[in-house]
Amino acid sequence: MSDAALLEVVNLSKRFGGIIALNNVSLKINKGEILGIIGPNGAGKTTLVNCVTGIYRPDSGRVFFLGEDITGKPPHLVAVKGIARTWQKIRPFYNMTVIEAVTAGALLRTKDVLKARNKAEEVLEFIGFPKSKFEMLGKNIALIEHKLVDLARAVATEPKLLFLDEVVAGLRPNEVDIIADVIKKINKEMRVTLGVIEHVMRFVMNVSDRIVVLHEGRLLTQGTPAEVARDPLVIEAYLGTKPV
Amino acid sequence: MIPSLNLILQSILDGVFLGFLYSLMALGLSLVFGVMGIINFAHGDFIMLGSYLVWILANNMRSDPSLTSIVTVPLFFVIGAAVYTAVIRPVLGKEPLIQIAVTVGVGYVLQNLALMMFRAEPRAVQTTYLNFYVGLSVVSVHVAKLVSAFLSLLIILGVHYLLTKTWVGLAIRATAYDREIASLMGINVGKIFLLVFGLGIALTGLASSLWMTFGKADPYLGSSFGLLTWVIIALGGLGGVSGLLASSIIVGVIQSLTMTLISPTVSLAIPYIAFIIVLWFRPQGLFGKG
Amino acid sequence: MDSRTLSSIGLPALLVILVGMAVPFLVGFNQYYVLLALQSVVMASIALAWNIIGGYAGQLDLASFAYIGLGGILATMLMMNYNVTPWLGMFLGAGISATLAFVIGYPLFRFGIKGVWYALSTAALVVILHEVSIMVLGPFDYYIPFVEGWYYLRFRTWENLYYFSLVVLASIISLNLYISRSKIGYYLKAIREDEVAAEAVGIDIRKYKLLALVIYASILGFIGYIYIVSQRTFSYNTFSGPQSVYVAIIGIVGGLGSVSGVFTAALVLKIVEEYLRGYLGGVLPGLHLLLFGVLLIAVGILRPEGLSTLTDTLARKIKTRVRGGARE
Repeated sequence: MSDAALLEVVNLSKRFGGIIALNNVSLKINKGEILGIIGPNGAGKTTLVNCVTGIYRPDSGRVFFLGEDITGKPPHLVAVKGIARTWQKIRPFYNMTVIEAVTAGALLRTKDVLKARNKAEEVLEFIGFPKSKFEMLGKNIALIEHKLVDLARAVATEPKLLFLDEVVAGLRPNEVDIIADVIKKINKEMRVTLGVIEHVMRFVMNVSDRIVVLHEGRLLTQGTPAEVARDPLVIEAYLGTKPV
Repeated sequence: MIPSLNLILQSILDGVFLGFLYSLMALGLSLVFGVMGIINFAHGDFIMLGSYLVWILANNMRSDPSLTSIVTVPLFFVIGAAVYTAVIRPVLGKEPLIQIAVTVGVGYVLQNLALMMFRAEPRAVQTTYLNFYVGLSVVSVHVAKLVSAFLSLLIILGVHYLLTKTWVGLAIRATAYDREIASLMGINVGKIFLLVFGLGIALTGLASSLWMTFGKADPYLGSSFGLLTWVIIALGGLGGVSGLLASSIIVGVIQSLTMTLISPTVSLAIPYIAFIIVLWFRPQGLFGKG
Repeated sequence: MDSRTLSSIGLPALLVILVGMAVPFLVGFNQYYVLLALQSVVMASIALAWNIIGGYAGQLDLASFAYIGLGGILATMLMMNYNVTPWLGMFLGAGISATLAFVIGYPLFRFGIKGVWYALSTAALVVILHEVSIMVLGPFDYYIPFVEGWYYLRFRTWENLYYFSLVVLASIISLNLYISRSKIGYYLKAIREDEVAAEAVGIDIRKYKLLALVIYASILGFIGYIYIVSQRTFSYNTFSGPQSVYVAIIGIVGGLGSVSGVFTAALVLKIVEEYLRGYLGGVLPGLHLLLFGVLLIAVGILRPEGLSTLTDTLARKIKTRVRGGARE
């Protein structure tokens, strides 16, 4: 296991009834990088993240984080260890305000509510969420705002590794660009390693340092964005999707 | 004093018959839960109120309670459709706690309706044709219980046929599987929900009629039948008719044996204890729906 | 904790005590009304305890009277049979109810039981205790023999117990307000909103739900004695499922998590109940309860936030008035 690897997944497998969602997947995420995780629908991308973050228990294989075996640990412990994630299908705290929701995240690292709240404000400002909307309830904000709050909530837990699960799904092109900038900021200035699961090619090719491609539960290939875009196997797997 | 083998066999037989009736009660609940994902907290209370209604009808009609089903089944279908439209449909998209609270409210209303009209006294029907035992060599067969069991089985098989062999049934199953896809295929999901909920409540009406051929109406029926049916579903799963029947019969037999071998009071508590135990040991799968 | 937060938590409680203490005077010490006030205060306390598990943690608990009955009957019987002062008895009551809550809650939460299944389990719990108590206590009503004095917390007139309950209510209000602003409060609300998302930000949902449950049960176990004394009897019927549902109704109609809303709903519903029971009770028993059931349904469909928006606005107005007045 190399020193630069923050997360290492070894021979991870997961099946649901007759469906094999993950089939002996092994990959590494290096410290400081933005790793793009792509693949057609059903490739196992979200299952992978769910196995790493403790929502599913893998049938076989191991997950190592900072050298420690965290396979099968429950989600809240995984968060304590320093892995956070955002949600493909948004999971807002509808009846809490934006600032309350992010404060709940910040409380992972401090008992003091005041300190946590200040941290939450800092994070929201860093992400570019308008201060005027801090007191709005979760049920009253727009989709792009949800995504930002989701990000802020996850970032507030001070993760070392952050998974973004189809974060730009459903967003307009200008909103996608906003998110792309925010993500790069989080990676560079807050030094958070990122795993970006995505369908929208323009976005993931733009932000990623490196890309892994999953297909039908298996790791198909990996490389730089340029390499992966040219790979005939990838093109074949993706037959029908828009070109980069 | 060790009870005789006769007594035990008798108890088991009665329990089996009871089990069939329980499965009829559980069927309505299972359908609604399976198709709509809604858990009707008031399900047992419909049976309770239904029993009192049957008491009134049977005494007025001076007939066997089972005949009241001519009235109760369509009436309860209409009631079910009304409850769906007024109470269930408006909260379908809302948070789970509100959905549960609303059905708790319905149950509360039914309980207090019974309290208002019948003062919490148990009632038994005067004219029952079949409320007697027929002695066979080893055991006696209680005819009313046998007939209820038989009719319950018939109806269950009928519903099964409806679900598997008719267009409507196909639509229902499609909706249960994935309502978005079903609506994309042209199925009017709202109508299906209405139909299923109405059917679920209609089945409770039928169950009330059959219950009253040998049982009594009392205000505690709501919670005990309610919990019993949930135990049955938790045990038997939502899969199919066989699971439902199997778990119902097991529950019926256990309850019957407890009543005979231990005491009637303890047998009353059995549904509740069984429920809590089942919740602890049943695999995650059923509750993963939440 | 800074002084502003302290006053936010303490002032409402203080206000309730001050205003509450005036009530017996206002009704000319008419015992019927003082008793009604006492029962209202007890109901408000119960509902605000429920607010912790129902309003904050979002679990539809229908077992309040399991905990009230257990703790209350313990304290009462200790007093009746062994001359143990309820000042000790109430704490023992809190302890036994907390233990029951832990014993029930630990496996329930560990197996991830929530939503309807949780509600059904708690409903079953109350009925089990009901049946067990028939076997243990028998189908009798127990009247508490009259003894007087602060040692027994019983008096010839109801005022003293009422004042004591006011203090208890005030403490529960403060506790609610404290929890609301603390880490526990944030975590419970997150759990209520979305358990999966809450877990992903590091919240141990089992631990916090259990904590909320035990706090709630302890308060109820403590109050149980006061409840029983205010009812003048206890029996197997103290373990009442319908009464437990009534508590949940107050909690929801008042507005989940709204202290002002739940407080108001408790008082209003109690007064309405008393009024309806007085006028129609003989003719149509259970009508008021039926109406409350309808109210619950109506609130759920039309206005799930209950009274909270109204009462919170009102509470804020009162707060600024009082703050402004205090500054002068």
